[in-house]
Amino acid sequence: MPVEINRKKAPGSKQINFRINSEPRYFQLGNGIPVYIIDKGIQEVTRIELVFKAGTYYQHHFHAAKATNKLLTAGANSYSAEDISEHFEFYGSYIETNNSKDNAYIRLYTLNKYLNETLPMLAEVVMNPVFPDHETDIYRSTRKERLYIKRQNVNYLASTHFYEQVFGSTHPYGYILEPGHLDGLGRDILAEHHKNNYRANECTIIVSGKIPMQLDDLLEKTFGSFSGANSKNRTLNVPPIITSTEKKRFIHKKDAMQAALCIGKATINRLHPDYPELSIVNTVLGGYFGSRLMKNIREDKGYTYGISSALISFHHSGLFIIFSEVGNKVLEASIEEVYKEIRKLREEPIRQKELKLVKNFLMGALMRSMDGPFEIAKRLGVVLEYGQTLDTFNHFIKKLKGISPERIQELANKYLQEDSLFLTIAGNNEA
Amino acid sequence: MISFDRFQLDNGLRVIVHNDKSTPIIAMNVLYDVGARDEHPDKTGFAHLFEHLMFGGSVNIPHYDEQLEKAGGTNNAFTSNDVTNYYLTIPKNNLETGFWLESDRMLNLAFSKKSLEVQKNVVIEEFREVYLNKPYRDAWLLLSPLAYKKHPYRWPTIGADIRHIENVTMEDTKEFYQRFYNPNNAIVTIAGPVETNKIKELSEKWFGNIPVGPPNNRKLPVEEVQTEARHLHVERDVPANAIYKAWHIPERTSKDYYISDIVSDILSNGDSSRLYIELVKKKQIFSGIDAYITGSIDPGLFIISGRLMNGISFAAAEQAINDIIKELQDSYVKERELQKVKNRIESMLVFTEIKVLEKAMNLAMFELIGDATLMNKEAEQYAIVNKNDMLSFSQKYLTENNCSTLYYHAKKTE
Repeated sequence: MPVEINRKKAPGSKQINFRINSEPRYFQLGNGIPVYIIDKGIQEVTRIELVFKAGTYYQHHFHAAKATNKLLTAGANSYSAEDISEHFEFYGSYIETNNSKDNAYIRLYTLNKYLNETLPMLAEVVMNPVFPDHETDIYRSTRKERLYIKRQNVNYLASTHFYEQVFGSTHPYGYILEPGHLDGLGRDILAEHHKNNYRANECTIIVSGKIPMQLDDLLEKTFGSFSGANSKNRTLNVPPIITSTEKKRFIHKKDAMQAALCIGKATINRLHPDYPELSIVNTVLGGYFGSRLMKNIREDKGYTYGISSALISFHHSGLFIIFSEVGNKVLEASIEEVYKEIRKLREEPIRQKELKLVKNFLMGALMRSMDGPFEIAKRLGVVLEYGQTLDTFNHFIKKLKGISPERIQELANKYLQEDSLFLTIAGNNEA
Repeated sequence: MISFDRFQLDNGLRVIVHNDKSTPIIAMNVLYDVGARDEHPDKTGFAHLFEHLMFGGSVNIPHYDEQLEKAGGTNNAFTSNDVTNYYLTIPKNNLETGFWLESDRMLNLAFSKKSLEVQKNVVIEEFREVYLNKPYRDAWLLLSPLAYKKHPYRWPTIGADIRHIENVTMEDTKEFYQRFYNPNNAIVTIAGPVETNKIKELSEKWFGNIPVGPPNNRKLPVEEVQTEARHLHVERDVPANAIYKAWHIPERTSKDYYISDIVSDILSNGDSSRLYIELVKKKQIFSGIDAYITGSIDPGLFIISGRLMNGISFAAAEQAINDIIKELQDSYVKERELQKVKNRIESMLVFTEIKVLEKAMNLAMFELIGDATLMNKEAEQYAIVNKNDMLSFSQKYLTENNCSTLYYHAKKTE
């Protein structure tokens, strides 16, 4: 028989305690490439990630970094694009290339039993890509098509213009890609970007999964001889960040049913001592489902399907951004509510009850984000870029446990003054 | 291979337990056997709206999300044409909070008027954001009623019309809840570092006294066999023409389902697949093209959709697709090509057994379509498909008379 229970009362929820107790295993290949190993899996699979400081920041031509990264698999050594993809697919593996503002990533997900087949091909695409003309031609034309389609999206329009306002139209973090930028992108430019930036001394390898015994040797054999064609230091000529004086920008999109809005500014990144705590402030405002922005603008007013805020780190700057797509009729009201919430965060101390909830939520979120070898590898990748170790997360836990309502208010006042924020809207009618 | 225990409470609730000690996180999945296919044709989009209302508070717990977040958990849900699925993950020592929350909203929802009004607006904004205010996103809203004439798959999960959402009343929601949100119409799955005995105890304690509801005697209209090709032309403000072709295929549990999945992978799974190599790379007719199956429980669709390169006519594009299909009907797939697709599926199945949440969801879904043990037989089902199966599948189903085609014209700009 079921027992009598009091459904009004929550079962005593326990304090969640979480700590990272071990750093990844570390060694260097003969050529100095650092290798980090997270050996924790139960399935016989491995994820191998190569990270190069070869992102947009390092390009000499618009879009060169992204195109280079995407076309690594378009031909290497004597293998055609089709040979390469057929090879990975035949062995049931997945290859993923990705480019950020600072980095280029190449990831291989493979069954352990096929490592001997998949790893050498990974090395070919990273070390010996050839960027054949017909492949770069197709890339340019399909990319252009996709760009025209993206420009129909209000979220794409608002966010690209927002970045331009914050970082300036010439800086690699801020420029907006135009179809014309793609025209000159050929083999020479891509090969040059590859030669300059995909080099052993700009590379980190992160391996995770259930690591087979012979993997260290296999990595040495595959990547140990990789030097990159150029060992000289890279020349960089990155223009300075020029923040726009235009605080509010409106991009007209005819017949749009909703408006996309971005509100935010350039701010500190992971290297700043305030960062861990500012990320907690961000969580309170718009960093989770129960955040103040979601509660007010979605759950109370029904103005939007979703609204969120984020703190994004780049190697040479940082960004605070609030993003939402809202109904045309409630655009003005939504913006007003966003500013109201920011003001409230600055002017009133957070109540203990809400702060406790955020602390528990973030603890659980951190625990989830470290669940399994692939997840730990992803977190590790993020902090390694800033010269930090997994212990950074223990530092965050300490800050999380200690943060007070006063400190939250102080940081909101220091970093989130309303008049320092940019506003970008893409839609049919101006707010 | 996933091992699990299974038991049923007296009120009909089915519970599946999968023990995975490698993680400190527990996933709890609650699947309700109700989806958009169970809606009235004049009240479409209802199951999905209702999913939103399930977060509007239950009789004893006014704020679901807050309570879960306080215990370090997080959650979400989705609605499909077939099911409504709720899931949460939580640190292991707070698992009971999940039982408390999920059982209370199964027992009795609060039916707040404010929640209904707000969530109607939220869903209407979702409708606009996801389906209307983005290029090509309304294609599915057009293709479903072209392919289905009788079966409720003819409307999409979000609904056929925004007005259906606007017109929902409180009475509608109560009736729907009483009919479908019952223990005998639900499957609970727990995956993580748990013991079955403990889960039995918690299930009895929290779900045991929820009254049994009416049986779900689903009787859906059966789609009649399509006997002639269907065409629809629309014009939209988009940069490029697009084409969508949909063929009827059998239900999820049929042997042909696995064959159809493999055929769609031969056409488009990865950059060495046929559509990509032939029509994007070699002939440059499409800037992007995909083949996939809808994966629904009742008879579904095999779909090819592609965006045309500038200057390519619809006739040329369609001919190119038809040539590729003809090849499937006329000649065997090469041994290595078939092996490639099977290897990829095998590997995909291994990768889906890594996270507890994915395992919990999959176990529930397989239990719904017949038996959770089917999850462990998937690899075998794919492995036995041979080149003859694929030839006869293509000849039988990928025919012009069984096909609906949507021509999505880019508006001419002067």
